Amino acid sequence: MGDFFVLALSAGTPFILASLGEIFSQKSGVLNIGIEGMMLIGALAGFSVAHHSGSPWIGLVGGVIAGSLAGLIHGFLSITLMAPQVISGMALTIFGFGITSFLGKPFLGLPATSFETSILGVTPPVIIALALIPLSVFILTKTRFGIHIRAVGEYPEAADSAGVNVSLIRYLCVLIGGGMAGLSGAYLSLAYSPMWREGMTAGRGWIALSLVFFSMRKPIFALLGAIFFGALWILQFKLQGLGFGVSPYLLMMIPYASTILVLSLLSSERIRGRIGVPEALGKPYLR
Amino acid sequence: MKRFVFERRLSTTQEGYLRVTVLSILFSIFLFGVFLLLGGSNPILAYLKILRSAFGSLRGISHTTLRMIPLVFTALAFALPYRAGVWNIGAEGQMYMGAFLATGVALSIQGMPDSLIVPAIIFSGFLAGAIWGAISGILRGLLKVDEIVTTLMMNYIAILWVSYLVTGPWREKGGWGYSHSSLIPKERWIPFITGTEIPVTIVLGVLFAFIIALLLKRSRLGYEIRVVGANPKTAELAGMSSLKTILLVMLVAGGLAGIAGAGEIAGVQHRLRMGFSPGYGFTGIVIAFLSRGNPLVIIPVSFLFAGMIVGGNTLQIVMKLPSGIVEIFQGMTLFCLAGGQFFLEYRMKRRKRWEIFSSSP
Amino acid sequence: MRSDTVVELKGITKAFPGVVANKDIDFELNRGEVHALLGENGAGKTTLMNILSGLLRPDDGEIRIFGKPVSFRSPREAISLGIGMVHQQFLLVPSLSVVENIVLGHKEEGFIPNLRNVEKKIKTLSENYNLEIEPRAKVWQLSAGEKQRVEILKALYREAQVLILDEPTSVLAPQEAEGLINALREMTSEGHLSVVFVSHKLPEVTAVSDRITVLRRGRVVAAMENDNVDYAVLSNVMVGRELQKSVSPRRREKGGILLEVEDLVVPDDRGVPAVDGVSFTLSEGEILGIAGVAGNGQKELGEALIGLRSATRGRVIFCGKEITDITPRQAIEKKIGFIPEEPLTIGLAGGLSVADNLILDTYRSSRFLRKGLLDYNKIEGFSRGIVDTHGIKTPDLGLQVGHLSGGNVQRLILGRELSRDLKLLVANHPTKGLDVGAADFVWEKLISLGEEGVGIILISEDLEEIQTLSNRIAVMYEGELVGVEESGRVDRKKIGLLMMGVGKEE
Repeated sequence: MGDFFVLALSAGTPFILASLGEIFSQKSGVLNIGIEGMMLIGALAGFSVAHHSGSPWIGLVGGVIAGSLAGLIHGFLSITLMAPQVISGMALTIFGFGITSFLGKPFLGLPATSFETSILGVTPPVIIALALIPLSVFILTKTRFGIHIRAVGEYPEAADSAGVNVSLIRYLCVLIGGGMAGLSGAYLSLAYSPMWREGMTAGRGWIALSLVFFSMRKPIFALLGAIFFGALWILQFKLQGLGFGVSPYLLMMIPYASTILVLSLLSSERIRGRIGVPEALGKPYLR
Repeated sequence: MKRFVFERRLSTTQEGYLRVTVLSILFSIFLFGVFLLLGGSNPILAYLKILRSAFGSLRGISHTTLRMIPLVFTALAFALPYRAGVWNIGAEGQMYMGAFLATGVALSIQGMPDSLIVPAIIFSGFLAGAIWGAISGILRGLLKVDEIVTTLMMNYIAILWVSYLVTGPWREKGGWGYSHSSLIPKERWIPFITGTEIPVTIVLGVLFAFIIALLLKRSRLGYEIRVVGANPKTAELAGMSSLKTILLVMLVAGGLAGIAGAGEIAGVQHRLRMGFSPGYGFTGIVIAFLSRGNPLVIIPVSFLFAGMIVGGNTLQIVMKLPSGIVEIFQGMTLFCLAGGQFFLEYRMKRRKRWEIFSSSP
Repeated sequence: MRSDTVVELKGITKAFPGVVANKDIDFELNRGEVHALLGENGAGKTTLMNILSGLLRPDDGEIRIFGKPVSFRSPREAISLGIGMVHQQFLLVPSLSVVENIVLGHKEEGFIPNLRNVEKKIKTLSENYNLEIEPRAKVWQLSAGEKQRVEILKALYREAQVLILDEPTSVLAPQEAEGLINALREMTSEGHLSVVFVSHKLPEVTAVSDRITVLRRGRVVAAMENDNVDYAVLSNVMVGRELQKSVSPRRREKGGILLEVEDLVVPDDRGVPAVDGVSFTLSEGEILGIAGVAGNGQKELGEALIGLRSATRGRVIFCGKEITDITPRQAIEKKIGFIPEEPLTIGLAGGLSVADNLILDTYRSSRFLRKGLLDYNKIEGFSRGIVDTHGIKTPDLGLQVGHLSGGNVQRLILGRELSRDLKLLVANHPTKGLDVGAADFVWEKLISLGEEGVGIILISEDLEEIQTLSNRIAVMYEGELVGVEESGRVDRKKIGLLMMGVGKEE
């Protein structure tokens, strides 16, 4: 059972990282459905930086930077140019897939420069992901930055009148979202399944996105959800080996189906007010 | 403090749309050219290659037309709800559900006159897609659940469902371990247009584009759709039902995407495969967005995009470029279009410092 | 000794395209006083206060704070000089707590604000100023009165010495308003804080203020100590303008009863009764003017009559049939028309063409159909007719309505409603924002409509409009109709007083 938990945690780590980042972005009012694309970009960048530098740690940093840059495109389009966020995010997904397939060709089949240490049976990035949970909670609830994020996502006019720079906060959050998605991708290509493969995120970005809604944008719930979805991810391979007749594909519907269920159950105005839905989500702000 | 501010343009005109769209596309062509140049290819040669392979021969045009079919349907599936203010980004999933039911009917139906089987296949595609779309429509209309999220999530449920079928109960017995269903009997394929290898679904697609254009422009229902999309409160004042309208557009949109799935399986691929679509549902959104929701504009734009896919694939093979360039170009186009929207609605104005906080009284 | 004058505005002038909102205004605020700024809607009060709070820059004039001339470039600079403004619309984030809202945007707390300390400070402030609040409560849990206290505390926390309250009681229940007035008196008693109290309600102004400055049409028309002020004089100063009659109400024969409203109760969006037991009748061809300051339930009354809002009590009888639970579509079918206050918010679709907007309530009729489709030749012919008779200036019928000017938008909606056979018209501020010529046009149309036998409910804040057009006049105040009278016998002063909540007939 302990082994299974470790497996689930390792499989759930990409979800933790990417959805934490998206929580920041959405809380500030920017919907970025391009997680899958940013993760791929992070995965390839992480892999190649580690390959050239010889250090998986520098690789992780490379993944974060590349992911942030990808996020920056979305930020520029959706914050400065006030583009429709769904369209821009979708473009990011398509572009991320294309550019990584294109640039990743030389790295196909190479071994990753991976982590050699493991702590309590997991690779270091897993520990980082776990540490980022309380850090995110702290930033979102206790710091001025966090208060500003929530204000900007919920009522930008109020934040603006109080002297908060709405665009700046949103840019920072989109960068955080991109950086975390990049880190998530780099974890995949450097630690979880150390190699580069075209489209290697295999839909994890979409699961991370659904996790953000599933967890009502609360980091703690995102952690629990990520372990749950991670367990499903592991089970899809295990169950068949154990002779159970459940298809892995049916199993992987659960994250999406449960997200729709949660959203439907939480749809009343009253509940929305309580859990702090960023009412300005997806809406550009122009004074 | 900003020296430049943006203000909403007072009017946006047809010429404005056209200018911004054309400039956005030209800019993305330029960007992609720079990209190719950096990658060591000659962009002009590459563009010529794309044009020649996609549109330069009968064979190329035939390929392009084949690719165009699902794009027309999925683009319409985005465009129709878009006019009612509903974002259906679930055409991919609705297409998979259409493919699922169409395959089921094609493989199992018995005792039906031959002449009705193909229509039944297409209708079942419509039906499954419509139901899939309607779920999001109901959730949005009744519970105000964001349709962007639900349609997006339901894509993956549908894709997984098809994956389950073709790896499980519907997997071809005695196949070589491939994940697909058995072949649909040839007499149940959607027939080709005489003298070509293009299934008749293309006619259906073009027909639907015209019907929807007519519906939107000239019918009372279409009028209601436009009013609901433009101002839901005004629609309520005029006694229109938003719920009914939203549900209806999602039913039809899902159904159209479902036909795309039925057409792709029963007309082109002839068996249900895992991941049979290279993202037609998403490309459809790009097309519809580029066409600004105008069904008639969707037809030529789909043709161009299909050409880009065909040409991109050829380019990849002939110039020995790595895969992914089609997606790169699509992504760039979409970035430019999304960004270009801004210049349509806002104009940059240099202001005196003190004017920055001024607004009307 | 520092000067006793905290704020001094001299010769403030501010123009917007087409309107001079403030003209040569002088205003002084002394230490520890409550200075009321009285005036009708549109008199320029809010503009003046936005200038004082740094939101707007005056075209001309001088602002002195503690004797020093200043020139604000942003609200932030005004805040740093001790000027805090509480806007009519609360600028608070619902899911954040009171404390979090108060520190929002306040740099002094550092990256990790010590919310416990802030909480203590807030507690002290709220005790000192008698503004009771639970600092940890989330703003969505608070009542309107509590939210207002948070806004005031927010200003005080930033060490505001001047507090500007823009129509502070408009969102409050009567008891809450009373509490606020008491709190303000107490807050200023020690002389640290001075208050500008912007309002159009006479009783509260006289209850709270030391001095009163009256604005009318962007100018100061009176400034006085609050000392045995005569309401009648004050209200006359405030609303008294010369009647520039270009249209005149005409005597008509009274027709049969068209509409009876009995004890109607209609809730607003929050579920609080906005219309609270209203009864009246309307005859055919009669224009009933409902005067009143915005927010007293007129909007909800109008919306209930056309089916946009449902009543929780009472009955509406129209042409002898009960229509209390009417739907908007039935209202159209029963020949009830509606002119909304802001047509582009509700009533028109800005993104659709002139022609499309003109058929909004007639598109179901078979006259536009040919072979089951809308016949745009007929629609354009119909639209062309309305455009011509109502003088709507548009380059073509395909133009998006959002691009028309305000006057043309109003003509368009009027033209649309008058284009069909009506029995009842609910007109909500039909000339708001229109210039004199455009308003005259609307008035003439309404009068001739009345002569044709259509019953009209005219909701307006503009007394001149109400008096010119109406056969009978009623005043709505806090959800109730007070004083329904024949317009011939109406004393303008009295109506003004009723609108402001004075002399309510018991």
